[in-house]
Amino acid sequence: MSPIKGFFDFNIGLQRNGDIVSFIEMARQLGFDGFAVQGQIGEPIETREDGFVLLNRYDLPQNSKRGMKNKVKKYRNNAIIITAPLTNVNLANWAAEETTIDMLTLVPPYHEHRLRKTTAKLAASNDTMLEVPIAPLLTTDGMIRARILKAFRESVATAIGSGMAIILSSGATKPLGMRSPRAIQYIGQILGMEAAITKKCVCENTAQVINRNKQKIADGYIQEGIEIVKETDDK
Amino acid sequence: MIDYRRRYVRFRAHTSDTLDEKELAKAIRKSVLMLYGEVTLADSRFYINEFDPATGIGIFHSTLKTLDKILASAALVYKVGKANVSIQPLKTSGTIKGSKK
Repeated sequence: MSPIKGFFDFNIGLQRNGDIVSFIEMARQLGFDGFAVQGQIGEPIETREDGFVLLNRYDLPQNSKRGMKNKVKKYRNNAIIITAPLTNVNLANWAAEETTIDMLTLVPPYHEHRLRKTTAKLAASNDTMLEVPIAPLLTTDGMIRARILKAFRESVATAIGSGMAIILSSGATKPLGMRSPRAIQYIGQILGMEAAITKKCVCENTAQVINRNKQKIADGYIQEGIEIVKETDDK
Repeated sequence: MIDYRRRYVRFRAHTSDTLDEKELAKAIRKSVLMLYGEVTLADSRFYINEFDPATGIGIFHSTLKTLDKILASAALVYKVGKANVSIQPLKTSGTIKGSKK
């Protein structure tokens, strides 16, 4: 199983039956090797003939803890990325500790849902990352954007301070809402990250999530460090 | 006159419509102004050297000191006139010739 490398956009907000081809064209032009989309592909990972990688992502609904647990069980083997919304503190702490959840996503209203230090520490110890969608920064301006920036910058600072990894994604609902990996890195600097960290957010952290989960959903995987190895006939 | 280190950035503006160079420059300047303010915009010495509306490829100029801020502001430009755009930085260089390589 060869590890995946390259640039991936983890959040394409494609509508059901939307035009995925125009997103793929745009992503290729911008320099992405693949992107994640919810509910559009049957397999966790689909590599197209041209080498472009489509990833299946599942966003847990803002639900009760029990509801979320059931959804995680149901979708873990079908989705390469499972994200939980960063809403109230109980759900966020549960999701941060849950090793089957890959990311905590900032959701509106952004000024109400911020990352707390305790949640960030729990997430950091379980390799759960913080996903920051940049779409709200593109479509707003003035005071509304200032409020979103304030909330994002505070959450990013908390994550960095607690050792929690960050993923920057576009959250684009239209192809022109996507930004190139380099442009996303500069947007990361607006959020208070250093250049070296922004590079990790766009390239290394995404590849890390994909490779980790590819291993998890492979046949014979039991838990980290334990997997069933096939017997060979070597004598 | 104070000498400054300049940088030329080759970029591509992805769009569904045809873009006008002046409108694009105005949109980037407005974005810098909103994000970082008048002092940064004044210090940046930002202008578009060349732009091909057919391909969307162009070169802009700024000071090295404000380059990151200009690129961040350009990345946040979503609308130019009525057209949606996505500005992709391609190459940064100290000379126009270098940015074209």
